[in-house]
Amino acid sequence: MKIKTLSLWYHPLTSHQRYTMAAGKACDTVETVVIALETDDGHLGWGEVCPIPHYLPAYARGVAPALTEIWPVLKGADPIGPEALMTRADACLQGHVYAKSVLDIALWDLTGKTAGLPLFTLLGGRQAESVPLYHSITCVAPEEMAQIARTAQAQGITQFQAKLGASGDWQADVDRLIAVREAVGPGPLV
Amino acid sequence: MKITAITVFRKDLPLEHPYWLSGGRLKFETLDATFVKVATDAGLIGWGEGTPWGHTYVPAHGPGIRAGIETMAPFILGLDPRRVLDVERAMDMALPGHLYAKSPIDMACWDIAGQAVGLPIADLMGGGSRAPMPIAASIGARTAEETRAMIDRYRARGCIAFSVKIGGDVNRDIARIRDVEARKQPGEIMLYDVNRSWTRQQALRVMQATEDLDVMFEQPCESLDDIAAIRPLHGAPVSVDETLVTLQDASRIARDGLAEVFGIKLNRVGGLTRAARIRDIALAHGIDMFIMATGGSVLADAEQLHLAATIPPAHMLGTWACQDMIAAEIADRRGPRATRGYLTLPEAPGLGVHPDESALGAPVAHYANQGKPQAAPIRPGYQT
Repeated sequence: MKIKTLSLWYHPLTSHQRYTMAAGKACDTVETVVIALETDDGHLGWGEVCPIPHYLPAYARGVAPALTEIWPVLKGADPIGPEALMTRADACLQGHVYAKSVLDIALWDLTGKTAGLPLFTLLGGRQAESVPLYHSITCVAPEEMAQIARTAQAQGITQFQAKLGASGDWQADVDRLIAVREAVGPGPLV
Repeated sequence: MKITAITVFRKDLPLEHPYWLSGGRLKFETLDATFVKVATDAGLIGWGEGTPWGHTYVPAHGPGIRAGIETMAPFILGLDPRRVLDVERAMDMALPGHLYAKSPIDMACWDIAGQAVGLPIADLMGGGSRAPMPIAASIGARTAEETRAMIDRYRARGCIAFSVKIGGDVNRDIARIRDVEARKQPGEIMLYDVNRSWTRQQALRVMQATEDLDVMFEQPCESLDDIAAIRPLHGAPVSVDETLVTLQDASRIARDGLAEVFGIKLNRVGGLTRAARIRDIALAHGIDMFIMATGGSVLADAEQLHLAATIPPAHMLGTWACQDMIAAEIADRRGPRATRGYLTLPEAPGLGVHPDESALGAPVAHYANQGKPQAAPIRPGYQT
């Protein structure tokens, strides 16, 4: 099996609610990057990376140039067993791990499909039937954050992450934490 | 004064001779250079350059510089370029990390700031030495014979400092060092640059086998952890290059005594603004320096020269003239040129050299204020 093409899409993802973090960083819409690796025998491997803007040393528009740089290594290569090819990708372009992650995922997808196994089996086997979600609460007024927590809890969420620091005011952060804790009660992880 | 436009050019800079790292592991023939022209409403124009040494050497590549500038441009337009710290913070807010993409913008801003006050950048940074700056020749050859020939070539040009690329094979490296040392002339500085290629055991074997020679090694191993681990087991002075990126790296190296020399490469550390802080950490801890571009044209050489000129000569071991290795000319021989192994600070305000735009080809991107500029989110307390 050989990699024949790499296709890349940029797609906007708009959140239900504006997402605000510390230091006034916020996002309404983030751009996600989706790739498809196609092999010479018609298999497709999919990958996605969606860097939150201004957050980590990673950005959507850095992904395509990095993958273009790596493409000569990928073209015609055997995608099965991702680590061997990823080692060659690392030698071709150092760092830029966020851009390579989307490639790694697509290679694992192809590997799993070829083996006829879900990835969790290839990675060591299933140990849990389901995985709990946590709900990330944007940094807004304390009462509003408490309301978001209550709504999520009513939908079955048992773990919460509360964003702090957006207003540069530690007392407001204390109020936010207290409000969220009181809203969800003593049990859940916050 | 406000930044009104950022224009980006891309140019391939072919190397005059193929260049090898780590005993032939990596070969380089062309550098992908990015030139950035920053225009202001005051009519001043600043130029920056970002030329990584290929794309396999450190985590930096030409297309990444251009993509980074595309993402950061809306946050930079409208700022006062003389306020380089504002520009630095705006870039950090727009795009964490990716220092190599920020460096050309920082350089262009310093160029404008210098022109605005009529001073060379080095003087604006606090005072630049006019003493001719020794050029460390970069000796990237595969065999001992090629190494001798390359050193002789630069020796004939007046160079007294040499960064000799080794790594890859313990016995060959020991033989190479002994060969070069046997031919060393009085007053010459030899730095054996491993470019991270030794494992810990390889490093110890070469360093111990050459302890009688009074030699210095640059970047013997991959990481600072590796360099720290072998530190108590050998007696050679060490220079840190590739793993000196952030101010935090510099403070760790200084505090933990991991190296006696810093190799500060401006594009890698994010430009003059950040490099100046690393310089001060070095000076405060008895660490001497090589100040170099990661590669590039006379613009990149000029930038490194301004920072080098702010360092007391006793602590400045050498700069570099990548221009000597490039078979392309973008400034019609203007700007600081290698003369008998030395570079001399230009006296013109700002960077002291601008390229001929016609030599750069058509721009690959242009960002300009359209209507209301998009303001960078600014931390509370930094708002101006």
